Amino acid sequence: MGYFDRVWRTHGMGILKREFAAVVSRDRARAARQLNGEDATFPVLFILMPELDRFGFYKELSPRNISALRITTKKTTGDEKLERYLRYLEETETEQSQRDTLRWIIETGIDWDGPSAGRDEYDTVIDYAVALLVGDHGDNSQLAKIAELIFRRNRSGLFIHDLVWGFFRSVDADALSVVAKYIVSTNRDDVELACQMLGLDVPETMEAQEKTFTRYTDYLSENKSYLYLTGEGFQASSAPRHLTHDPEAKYLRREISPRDRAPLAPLSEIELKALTRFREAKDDVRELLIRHSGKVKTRGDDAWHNWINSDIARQVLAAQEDEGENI
Amino acid sequence: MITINGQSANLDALLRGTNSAGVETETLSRLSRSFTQYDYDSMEELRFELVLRREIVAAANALLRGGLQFETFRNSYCNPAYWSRTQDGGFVVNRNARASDAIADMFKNGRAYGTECATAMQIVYYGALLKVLGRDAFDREFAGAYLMNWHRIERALRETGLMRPTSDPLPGDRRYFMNPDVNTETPEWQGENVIDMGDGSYYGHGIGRRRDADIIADLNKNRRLGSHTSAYLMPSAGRPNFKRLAQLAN
Repeated sequence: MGYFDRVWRTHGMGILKREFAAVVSRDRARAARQLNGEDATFPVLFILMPELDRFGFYKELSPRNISALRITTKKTTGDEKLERYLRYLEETETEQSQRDTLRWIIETGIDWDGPSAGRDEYDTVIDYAVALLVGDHGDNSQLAKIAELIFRRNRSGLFIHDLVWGFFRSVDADALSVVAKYIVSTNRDDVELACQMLGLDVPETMEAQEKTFTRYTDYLSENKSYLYLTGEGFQASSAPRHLTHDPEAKYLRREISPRDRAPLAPLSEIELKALTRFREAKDDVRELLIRHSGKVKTRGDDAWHNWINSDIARQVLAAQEDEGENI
Repeated sequence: MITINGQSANLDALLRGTNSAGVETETLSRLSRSFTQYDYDSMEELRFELVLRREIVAAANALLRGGLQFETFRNSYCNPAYWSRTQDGGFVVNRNARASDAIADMFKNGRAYGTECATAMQIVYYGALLKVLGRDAFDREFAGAYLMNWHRIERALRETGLMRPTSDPLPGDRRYFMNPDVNTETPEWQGENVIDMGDGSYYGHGIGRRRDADIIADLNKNRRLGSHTSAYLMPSAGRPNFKRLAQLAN
C-alpha cells in the first residue's frame, strides 16, 4: 500500500489532503513518486483532485494518473479546459495504456463507495470506466468485481442501471455465471436482482433457490455456444433478457458470435437448406429437432452429419422415434 | 378479432357505440382486423380499454406540452412540494401529498421535473389512470407512488414493464426503439421508450412526437464511431393489464 493510501486509510480524507499539501510544499518530486507509485490507488487520486488543481500538480503525474484524471474530469467537473490540457499531456496514450488505466481504476477503486458528499460523482466515474473497459476494450477480467459492486449498490437502493448495462456489454456467458451465483445468496435483494438480471422467476425458499440455480447453470452449459446479446436492459424492460440462446444455432450445433449473432464459420449448402425447413416448422417441431440434434451430436459427428443431411421429414421421424423409445 | 362474453363482436355495431373518432376507432379497427382473438368479459371491459388507451395518448400529448425536462437518473430532479428524489434517481410521492396532486403537478409544472424516458412513460400511464379512475380511486390505489424505470415498478402497472411480442401494435402501447451499437459516451441513447400514438407517430420523452424513421435517425447519431448497425423498433409492446385496471374503476 502506498504512503498516501496509508495516510487516507488511517486518518481519513481531511488529513490526507493536508499531508499531500505538506509533502508537495517540501518536496514535489517525492509527492509525485508516492502518487505515481505502482501501489497507489485510484481513490487517493480522486480525493486529491482539488489539491492537484490548487498546486498545479499535473506535469508531475504519470501517464496512468493523467489518463485516469482525464476520464474522471470528463464525468465530474466537466472542465473542458483541464480535459484538453490533460489530453495534451497524455499524447502518448495507446489503446493498451488506456486499458491498463481503466483496469487500475476498477481494480483499486471498486471496493470504495466514494466520499459521503460526492458519492454520485465517484459512482459515475466507476460506471464509465466499466463501460469503457468492458464495452470498448472487450476486457472481461473484472466481471466478478463489477458484479459485486452491482449487488452492493442494489442492497443500498442506489443507482445500478448504467453499471448493469456496462457489465452486459461483455457479451460473455461468464457474466451470466457470475450473476447466477447470487441466486443462492441469503440476501433477498441479491436473489431478486439476480433473477431480474437473468430473466428468471424469483424463488421463494432456499431449496427453490438452489433448484433455480442448478437449472440455470445447466441451461448455460448447454447453450453457452449459442448465446447472443439481445441489447435489452432495464431501460427497456422489467425482466430484460440481456443474453439469450439462438434456437437455429442450437439446431445446427453451430457456435455464433455473441455480439452479432452470426455463425463463426459460414454455413454449408446442406445446413442452409435444413435451416430453411427448420424455420417453416411449427414451434413444437422445432423444439423436438433441437432436442434431438443435441442427442445425436453426443453419438458422434458421423451420426449427426447423417441426420442433418437427411430430409427434414426424416429428421422429425428419427426424433419422434427416439423420443418414443425413451418414453 | 374481438369476442365479448364468448360471442364474436360486430365492428360496425361497436363503432356506432364509440363517441370519438381517433384513438378509440383506430384501436377497434386494429383489434377486429387482427388474426389474434381478443376476448372481453363484457362490453364495459372493452369500453374501459378503449377509453384508457385514448387517455394514454392524450396524456402523452399533455406531458409533451407540459415541458417535462430530460435528465439522466443521476441528475434527475423533481418538485419537492410533492415528490422526494430517491437514491437511485427515482421519485416517491411525499407522505403529506396526494398521489393525484403529485401526478397532476408533473403535467402542469413539467419544468420542475427532469428524468429519463422510461419514467416519462410511467408518468403518462399514471396521468391517464388519474383521468379515468378519478382522484379518490387513484389515491386509494397509488398512495406513495414510486416512479423510476422498469426495474422498480408499481404492481398495478407491472405489465407495462414487460415487453411481449405482438403483431398488433395498438394506440397507447409502450414500444421500444433499440440502439444496439450505442456510443459508450451516451448510454442514455441505448434506446428510446415511446408511446404508440395510433397515427404512425410515437411520443418519446426528450425527442417529442415523431415518426419512426426520425427516431431511428436520432438514435443512429449516437452510435459507436464507424458503426453500421442501425437502431430499430422492437416487434414487441408493453401493455397495461386492462382487465385488472378495469376492476379498479368499479
